[in-house]
Amino acid sequence: MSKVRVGLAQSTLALFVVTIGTVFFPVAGVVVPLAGASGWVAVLLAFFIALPWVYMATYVAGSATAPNWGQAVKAWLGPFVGRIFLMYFAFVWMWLGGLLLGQAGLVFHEMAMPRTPPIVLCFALLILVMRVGWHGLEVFVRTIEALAMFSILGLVGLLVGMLPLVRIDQLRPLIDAPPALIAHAAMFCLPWAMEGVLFALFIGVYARKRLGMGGYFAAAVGAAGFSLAFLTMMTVGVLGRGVTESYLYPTAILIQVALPGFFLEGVEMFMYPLWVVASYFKVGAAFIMVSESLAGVWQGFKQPYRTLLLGGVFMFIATRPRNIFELVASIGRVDNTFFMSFYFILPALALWVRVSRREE
Amino acid sequence: MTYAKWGLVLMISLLLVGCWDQQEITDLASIAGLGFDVGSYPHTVRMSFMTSPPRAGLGGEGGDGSRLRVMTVEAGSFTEALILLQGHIRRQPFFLHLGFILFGEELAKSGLNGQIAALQGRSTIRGSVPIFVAQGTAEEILTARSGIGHAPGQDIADLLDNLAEAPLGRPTTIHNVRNVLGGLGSEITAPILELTPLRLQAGDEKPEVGLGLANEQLREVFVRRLAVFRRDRWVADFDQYLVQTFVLLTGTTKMGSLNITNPADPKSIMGIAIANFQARFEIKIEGDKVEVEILPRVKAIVREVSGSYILRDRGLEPIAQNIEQEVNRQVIAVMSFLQEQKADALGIGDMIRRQQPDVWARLEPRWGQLFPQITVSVNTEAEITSTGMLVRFFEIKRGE
Repeated sequence: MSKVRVGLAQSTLALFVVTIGTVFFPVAGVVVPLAGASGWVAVLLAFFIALPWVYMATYVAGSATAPNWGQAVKAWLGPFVGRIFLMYFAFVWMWLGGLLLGQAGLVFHEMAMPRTPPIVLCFALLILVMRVGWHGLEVFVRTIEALAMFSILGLVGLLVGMLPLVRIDQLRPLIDAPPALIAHAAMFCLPWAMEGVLFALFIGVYARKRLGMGGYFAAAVGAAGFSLAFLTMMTVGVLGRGVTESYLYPTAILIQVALPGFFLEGVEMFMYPLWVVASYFKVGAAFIMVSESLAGVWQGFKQPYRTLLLGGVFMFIATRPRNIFELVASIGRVDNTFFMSFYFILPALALWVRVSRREE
Repeated sequence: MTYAKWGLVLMISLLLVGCWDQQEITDLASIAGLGFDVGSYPHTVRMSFMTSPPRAGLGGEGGDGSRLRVMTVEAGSFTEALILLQGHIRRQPFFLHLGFILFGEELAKSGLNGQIAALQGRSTIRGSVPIFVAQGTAEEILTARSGIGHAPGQDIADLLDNLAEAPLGRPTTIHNVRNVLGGLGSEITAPILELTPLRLQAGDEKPEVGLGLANEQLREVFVRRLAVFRRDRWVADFDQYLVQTFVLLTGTTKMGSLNITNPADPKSIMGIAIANFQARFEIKIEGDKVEVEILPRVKAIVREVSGSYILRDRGLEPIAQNIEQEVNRQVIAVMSFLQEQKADALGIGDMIRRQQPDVWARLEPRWGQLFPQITVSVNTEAEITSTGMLVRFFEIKRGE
């Protein structure tokens, strides 16, 4: 049985970066067409709504007796229902992870490497993810720590390049759309918050200390929501509403317009590594969660075969969409159908765990 | 040892890439400036690309001076033009270093819609690239061999830098244009680039005629007017006097100049430097009646006086009053011009949208008819902050 334990600070950081993940790039393009300049309000609203679910996830994770995801789920729900939950959990994350892997390749191909087929970029990222997936959660969390430090440089570079370009008048009026449209935009952000909630449920099982875990994890998801709202605000402030709503990934366009100086033509040098790192966070988290879930379903599913098989499946899913529109539509389907379903499943699970505890 | 191996792999991997993806810099033709004009045949556009073909052992510039060249192709679309261009320059056009885009007069007056759409579809064309219009053709401006700039096109880059400091024009970008055209309540303006024969002296030229070494006519690119658009069509232009007031009202620059009548001697003038100009717009709406009160606040420095003005005797108040009257007059002139042209280039509609979104939703569909009818009043507040430490300006004493 796995003896992996993760520190509370480490898991909070991991939760923060995994929740943001690649959402960093499309967030403004999703909310601004509906909510206009008040898109950032929609993002904040969605992540605020998700906070009770974070507490539910940490409550459930806190009741795990052993630092093993599969064992914990089976302990909560029993061996049969537990395995069904694990398979559903794996299915959802496998689909999303595969599509995000495909997204990394397609977007990189579109923006920066038009001569390199997307599959090459997918494969390169997949090798990295598989290697970390093979070593397990502890190594993944350590790489997150290292990469988060590395990313700080890129983020500071972006902020310095962007802030002087923000035009406050483009952010007005504060409420730029009817409340129904802002709520509609917030609904599209709810799956992103749920991705964070589910990762909190998963990593909470491995947390070394659980005292105050709910507060830490809520702060991580809240901070992710705040960061995404700030990014949305900055995107609209720099690009304006019309430009923001015409791109699938407005953050990439936002980064393109910064002109920090004569010598440094642009700050794309910060964007491309950030894209790889963000994709790695999300795809890596998905890979590890799927891997651990499948190990919980059938304990005979050992390494390295598990990683090799999963790598093949991820690659298969990543190469299914023929273009970026199909890919975005597929991600939308996974998010708005399967991840949204956890807004019902998680309270039921928490209730079940609560009742079971009382009976014990 | 493991880290060293991984580090080595990483470093070697960096050597495997080209300048852009798998392409080496010598396979790319970096486009520095781009011009659009009406083509010779119906439904074609004439596109001029300013590029610097690289040579072995040298960068884009170097050796025997500028290597910037302008290649022109005519095509039905931008995509087709790029293919045709490759037939001339034998390299793939590369736009990440694009410095400016220029639209010829005839094209800008017939509508920019197709060209703006073409620019949007290229992920390597930055939305922050500035846009100008040309008096005449864009090609002519791009190919002008200037004695002032370092190379063709360099004049434009220099002018652009100066627009932030002096109220000569209001620069606009691809993104601005798309944001403005994507909604009502504001219109595009773009600096107009003009050409004039060069008459300045330089080391390698014949100064008396402004010719280059090969007897080519050197011409200077300059800016003094601003094109006003109605949607994507250039419909009118501000002259050099109204440009300044318009640019100050938009807040693009805060500094400028003003000539006022000398309060002590109506036949002479005072040259005023505007150190800070800020304008507030107060908008009142009742039904379909829109009233705009413009409240400029001017901090001014008295720089020159022709005729006599003794500060100790008269004080600063009469000068401030004349400044207020002059600014009021100029602002009214700008607004009247825009209303006459039915072009809300100051973005009054946008201001209403930001301040009163519900009211704007009602007015927006009829804004084209409402804008020329809005009532405008101006109330300037001027403050003299300096007279250059003078108390009495220069005066020629004349006998009978």
